[in-house]
Amino acid sequence: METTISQRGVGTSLGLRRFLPLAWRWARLFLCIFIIWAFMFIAAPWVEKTPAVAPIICFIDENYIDASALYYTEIEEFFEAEIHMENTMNFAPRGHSGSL
Amino acid sequence: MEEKKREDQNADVITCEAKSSFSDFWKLEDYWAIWLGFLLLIIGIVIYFPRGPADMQETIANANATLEAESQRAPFKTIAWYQAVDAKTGLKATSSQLGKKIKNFLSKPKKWSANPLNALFINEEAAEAVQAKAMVKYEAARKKGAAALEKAKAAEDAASAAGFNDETLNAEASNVIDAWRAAHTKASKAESKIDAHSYNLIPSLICIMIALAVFFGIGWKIMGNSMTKFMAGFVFIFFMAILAYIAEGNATMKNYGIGYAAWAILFGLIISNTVGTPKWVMPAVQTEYYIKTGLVLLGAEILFGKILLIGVPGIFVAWVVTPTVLISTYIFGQKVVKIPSKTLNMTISADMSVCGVSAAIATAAACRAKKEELTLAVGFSLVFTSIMMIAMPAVIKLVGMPYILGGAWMGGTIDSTGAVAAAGAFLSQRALYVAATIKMIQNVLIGVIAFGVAVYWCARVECVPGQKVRAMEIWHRFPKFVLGFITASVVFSVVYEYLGSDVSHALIDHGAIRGLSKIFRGWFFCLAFVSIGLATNFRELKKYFKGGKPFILYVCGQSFNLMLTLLMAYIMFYLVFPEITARI
Repeated sequence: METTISQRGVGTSLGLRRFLPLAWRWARLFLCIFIIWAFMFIAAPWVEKTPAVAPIICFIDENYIDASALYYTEIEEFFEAEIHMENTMNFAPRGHSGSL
Repeated sequence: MEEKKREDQNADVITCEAKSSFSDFWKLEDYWAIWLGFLLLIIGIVIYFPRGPADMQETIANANATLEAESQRAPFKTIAWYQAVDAKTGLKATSSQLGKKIKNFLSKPKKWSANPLNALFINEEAAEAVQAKAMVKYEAARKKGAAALEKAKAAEDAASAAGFNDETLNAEASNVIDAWRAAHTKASKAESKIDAHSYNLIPSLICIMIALAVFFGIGWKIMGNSMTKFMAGFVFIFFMAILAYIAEGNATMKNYGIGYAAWAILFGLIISNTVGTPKWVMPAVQTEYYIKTGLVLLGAEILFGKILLIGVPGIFVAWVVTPTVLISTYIFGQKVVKIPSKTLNMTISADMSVCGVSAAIATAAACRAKKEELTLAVGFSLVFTSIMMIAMPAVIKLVGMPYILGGAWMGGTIDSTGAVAAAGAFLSQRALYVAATIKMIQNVLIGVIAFGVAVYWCARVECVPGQKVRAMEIWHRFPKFVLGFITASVVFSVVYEYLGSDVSHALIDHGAIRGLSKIFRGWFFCLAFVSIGLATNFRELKKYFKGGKPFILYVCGQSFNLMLTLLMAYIMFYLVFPEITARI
């Protein structure tokens, strides 16, 4: 069996420490932080304003939707949908001219 | 099971000789994951079950009586019908005094726009500014909601005056009421933002860190390791988890659907591949310990009663298409793409066909995938989710596809749950309801998939070809935490059905789950992803991209998923059960 998700990466860190000078390692760290900063504060907001992306991103923002939710219990819209569907199935409108 | 691990010096391979003993109950992390997960679930039940709203039964009875009367009075969902549903929606055990205190205390870093520190604290002055801004939005939304309600009342009265026999007036009333619901939802959300107040999460986060360090540390100690070393490393892991939550809280990133899982892995990877993971942190880099405990908690959120929410069409779209795509993609990956790693093949297939990151976590743990494989699956999910969330509603609008069909299509295919809500709501409220319901039914499938994969791996994959595996051998190899995961799911599903859905919404959905277990489950997964990042080398990841095989697998599988889900949704919602579509 190969290394599972539990297995350690000690070798990774020790190997790096052995072969890369300290200053270079810290420089790489700051470069990564800069790239994340540039993505978060420059690239992503710029793409957000493009015509193809802007409508849905604006909609998500205005309606306070958590688009990053992993599971249905993390997002309120799913609870609303559940209650709506449940009551639609249990109390479906069936007055006079049939349901709409 | 006593695992004798022998590391191959060159290939980083571990072999297992499996056998079970009584001491496994306190020596194995699988069992510790079960004990710790169950402990939190029991605490959640003890806190929230006695704290249902005081007038809960009466409110439910009145609301159901109104719903029954309105369903017989009109051929469409009337204003009173929706208001009765709203009355039931408001019943939450988490709204109790203690529930609110727990929610505030366990709050993770909050949403922010320009200053990342606002994720952790905000002073009175800044809170007042936020409040004032939210109040302007709320006032505008409230006025729109009130105007829409007046129009809806007029349209409903006109339809009622005609004895609900005029089809045109009925259709007009139904449309105007829909518009009111959209405005009402927006106003309700805007209202929830106006009580912004100052906060400082640092003391509570320190308390959570100490509590979790002790929580996991006790098990770690009894398993025969050093608790002191674990707790020292845990401080670093927890700090990284906070950073991941802060990054998730960035308004722009949140809108793209980039969650803590991606940030946690990324931050961990950056540390381990630049300055290197400090040696003293490594005792707390325990991915499986955190992930398995989180999965036991996730089990309680897998409620089987929910699969019948939308009747037979939902089961076909979510429970027939999804396993079909999963199995087909796995076979395609093995026979055609020839992915060398079966665990990578299965993790990507589950991630793509079921529901993204949460399915990838459960499947990877069930088949003991490598940490790099889970990282890769999460990365694919992130990229394709963002693309599909933006592209699918645009395509649906462009081709003029009915929104209910579009909702079912997106619910069955977009990986991430949050992105499904965003894309569905962007089309219409009804599209959101269908998309969310299909995705929810698919979410529940995680339990069955994880169990099936665990059994298949023990019985077929991890054995010598041609050799018959005995039942006891399967038991020895079986990842025991899956039993806790399934038990939590079955127990909560049974209790849910016993209490009835209306009461369960208040005590389980908005009680034991959202009030406690979901919060800790989030922390545990975040700690696991930080650990994965801290223990991963970029070079190890690179070899998986050889020949672009995982990418080909994902694209082909997702294309098949898109076609089959659309076909099935059309057949179910428009050919076989059009009456259900009409009701929605």
